[in-house]
Amino acid sequence: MDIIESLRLAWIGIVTNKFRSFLTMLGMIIGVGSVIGMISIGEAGQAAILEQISSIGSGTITLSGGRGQMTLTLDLADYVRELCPSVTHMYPLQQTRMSIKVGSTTRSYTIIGTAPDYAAVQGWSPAVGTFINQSHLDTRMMVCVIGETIQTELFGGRMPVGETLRINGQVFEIIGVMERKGTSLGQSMDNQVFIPVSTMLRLLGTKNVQQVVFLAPNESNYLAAAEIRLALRHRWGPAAERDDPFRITSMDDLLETMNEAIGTFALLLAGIAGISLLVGGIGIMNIMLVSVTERTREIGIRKAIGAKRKDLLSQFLIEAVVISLSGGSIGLLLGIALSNLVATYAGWSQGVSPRAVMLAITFSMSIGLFFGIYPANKAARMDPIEALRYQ
Amino acid sequence: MVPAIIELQELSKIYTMGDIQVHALRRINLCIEQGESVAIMGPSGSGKSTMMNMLGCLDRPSEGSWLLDGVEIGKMTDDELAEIRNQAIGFVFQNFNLLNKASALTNVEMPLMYRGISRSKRMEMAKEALAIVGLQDRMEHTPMELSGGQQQRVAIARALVGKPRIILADEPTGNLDTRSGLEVMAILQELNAQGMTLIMVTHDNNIADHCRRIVRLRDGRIFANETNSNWVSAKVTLGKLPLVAEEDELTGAEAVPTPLPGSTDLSSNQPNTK
Ligand SMILES: Nc1ncnc2c1ncn2[C@@H]1O[C@H](COP(=O)(O)OP(=O)(O)OP(=O)(O)O)[C@@H](O)[C@H]1O
Ligand SMILES: [Mg+2]
Repeated sequence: MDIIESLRLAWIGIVTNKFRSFLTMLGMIIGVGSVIGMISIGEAGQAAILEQISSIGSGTITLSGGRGQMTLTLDLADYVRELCPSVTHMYPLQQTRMSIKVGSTTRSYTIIGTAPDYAAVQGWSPAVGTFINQSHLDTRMMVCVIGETIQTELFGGRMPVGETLRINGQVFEIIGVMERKGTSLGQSMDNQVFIPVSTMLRLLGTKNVQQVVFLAPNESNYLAAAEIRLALRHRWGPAAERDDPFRITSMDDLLETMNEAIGTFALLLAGIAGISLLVGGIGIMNIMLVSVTERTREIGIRKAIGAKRKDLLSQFLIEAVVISLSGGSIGLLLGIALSNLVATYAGWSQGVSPRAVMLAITFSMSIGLFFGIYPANKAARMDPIEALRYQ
Repeated sequence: MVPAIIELQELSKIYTMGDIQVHALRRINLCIEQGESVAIMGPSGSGKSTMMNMLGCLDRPSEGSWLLDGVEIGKMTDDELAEIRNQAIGFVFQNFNLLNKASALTNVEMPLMYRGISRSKRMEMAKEALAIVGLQDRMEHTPMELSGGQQQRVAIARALVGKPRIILADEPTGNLDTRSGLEVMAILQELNAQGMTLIMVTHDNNIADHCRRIVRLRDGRIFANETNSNWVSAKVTLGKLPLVAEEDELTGAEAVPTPLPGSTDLSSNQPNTK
């Protein structure tokens, strides 16, 4: 008896007991569906979050904080940069919301005070005009670069370079419009206004900077952070060591921590889904055992007319595999639908994980084999006379 | 001399149930030649079914030897026995043992599937076998849609489809009325006439009279083994049955006159094949 015959027999066995077969499949459908769904969602979510984080700047180290005597100023930022050979770029970041007025329209936007390196590190530059340069910074010029959304909202989409707007009542000249960037970590990047950080500090009447970002692309984040810390100690002496008011965050560390956290979470999801797959497999074994017992007479008849052990073994084993594979395939479609739905809803680029698909198919087949072998073997080893006598 | 197809030597079957040993068969010696027809009779519990299961290679002897064409059966593996059941033996059961959810055709072609014959060839052979038992227009019916007699004929078709050398029937007419029983016997006699060795178990003397030899068992021993001098042809008996309306089989069956007066003559001037 060849494999085609075995498949045919298995198929007949399945359609003869449609409802029972469906119930058995249900375990696999839910199991495989959730495995694919969970793994895909986990992986896609991880990819999306990491992509956004790294778009903010991989290889960057952020210095923030400061208190009392030890404050974070532009001078300190320059001092640190001088002392750290691995730092190639540096920009301060000062953020606040202010009202902007053009003509008779007034709206509130995020104003960012920064330096020329911002554009270089972010890899983001104006579509029209120029970004803030060093002389703007040195002379605290009243210039600004606006986001695309602001161009639309305040200027009706017309080219605003050369025109002016008022930030907190002060007149600024628009020198550029940033390229469209979209959202990052759920926030739009296109409704911000960039001005020289020196200008901003004067506007706010302070010397304290919120953050300074350093880029050290050729050195490990860890070493670069150590360098920066050393420079701070150098500047403030032992006092900095006793009571360090500064916070140094490296983006790579953050990335790694995030990655680990999300990875653990995804693993947890997959584990839960895997348990449901296991339960599905046990369901298959359960029902196959019932089926073998219920069909004892059939087994006796087949044996009496000459079926060998392997004939019955393959008949029941293939039946179990066919059930689990069909259940697995339906579950696969379900899982794909689920993860696509979530990906679409969340705006992620990656939908179904091909790894999950492979995993689900291999898994459902091996579960059918693993949990089918015991019942099938039971059928194959039955004594024909006893089986025939079974009522 | 015709070689013995079946030879049982000092064969015993002992069932052990806890401390109790049941001697179902005790030191049986029996020789059956190709083409014979043998009825096995005896009171309930005398070991008839046990012997049939042994001959049908469904079970192994506890002691002694059982030679099929001179080959020892007791030493064979399960799969080798399965192969013999498939190739050499056609078994007909008292309770038919058909797959209730499968059509007559599927039931009949099943033994051939385990022989590795192609589906189309199987269908052809199964249709032929069903035609032999007169069920050519019932092929797609499931057993539940057939009468008892028809079900037993399906079972006979399944037994004969592989052209076995031995047909074993354990009370094949036990669940049938007289007419259906005679029809079944007529088919079995026809197969025997064509050369198949027929061995059957029955409680009914009239049915046993369709065989050339009668073996009587008691307490697991053979106490009589003799040529049947009252051999009758089931076909002839059927022909002499009063014509009954098809829809009233039961009345007809009850009206069968037994035993038939002319039966002895028939047996003497109509020798078995070979
Ligand atoms: N599987 C078994 N286990 C234990 N004892 C058994 C088994 N099968 C048969 N026997 C015993 O063996 C003896 C012979 O049984 P068997 O079925 O051969 O009788 P039989 O002649 O066919 O009877 P009947 O005419 O009622 O069918 C009986 O005493 C029975 O109880
Ligand atoms: Mg019996």
